[in-house]
Amino acid sequence: MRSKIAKRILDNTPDEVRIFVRKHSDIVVRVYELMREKGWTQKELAGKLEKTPSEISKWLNGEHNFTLRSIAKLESELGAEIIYVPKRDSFHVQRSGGLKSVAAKSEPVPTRITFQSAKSSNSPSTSKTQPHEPIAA
Amino acid sequence: MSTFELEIWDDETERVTFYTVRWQDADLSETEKFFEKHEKSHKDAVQHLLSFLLDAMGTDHGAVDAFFNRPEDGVFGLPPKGRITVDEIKLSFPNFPLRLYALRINDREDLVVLFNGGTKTSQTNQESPELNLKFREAVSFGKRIEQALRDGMIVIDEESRTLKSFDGSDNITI
Repeated sequence: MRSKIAKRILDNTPDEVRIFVRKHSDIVVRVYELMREKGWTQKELAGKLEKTPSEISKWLNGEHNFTLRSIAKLESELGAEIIYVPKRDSFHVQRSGGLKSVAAKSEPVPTRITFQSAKSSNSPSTSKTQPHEPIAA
Repeated sequence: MSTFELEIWDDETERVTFYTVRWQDADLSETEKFFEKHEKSHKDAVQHLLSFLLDAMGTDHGAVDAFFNRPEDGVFGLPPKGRITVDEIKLSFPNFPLRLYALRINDREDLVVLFNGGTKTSQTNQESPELNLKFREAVSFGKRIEQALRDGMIVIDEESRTLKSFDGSDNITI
């Protein structure tokens, strides 16, 4: 069962709002999980990012919006991906091989960013593992 | 002392059963009062909050720590029966105007009781009179729920992820 009021409001909620809320929540939960895995407090993370603890708190408690730049910083220090953008074969093949007439496969290309240890390098290297074979048009 | 019902507010998501409280002589639960009151004046925020509860929490992640602020004066109860805390639902969006109070039964991620809340009109809840009143009410509800759990008047049914009265009934009056 669902509260009638909840049902009414949810039915009138634009998809865009629901997508935003879910993605934003995914990012917050992911950052918390990565911090927990590393055993870092917000203060320790702030130190590594050369930010003040209050700035980190603002990111995690919502007083500042995440930006792509701030997410990149977090990924770099936490040594793992926070957001993942699926790519299509055609996109991948066009970039790497310059082919033009390639039908798209809808699965994500299994690319993976491999991070060095957070301290030793701030420059993640991108490795691609076994890309799909292109499908001829 | 007035009695209230502990009733299901939503049990259609995969990860969380949401409860609410309703005074016995009231038509609406405290959570329905909250949403009805703010539905028009804060339409956008209400939609975000509801999606947060049912999509992000109920469907995607459960009632994880990252989704709750823990006011210092919201903690009560003692082990081993379980500590009870009235938390504030935390939407990590800038300048989010609404606050809703909740209780996670024994800090579980799958059983949440929602209360009432309000709009944040100042930096701290203590300085927002309406919100402070709702927080005090939530703590009062929470204490009585904690006592009922401690006394065995309410039990957790693990299989159905629900709360039951001591006699196995779904009707819980406290």
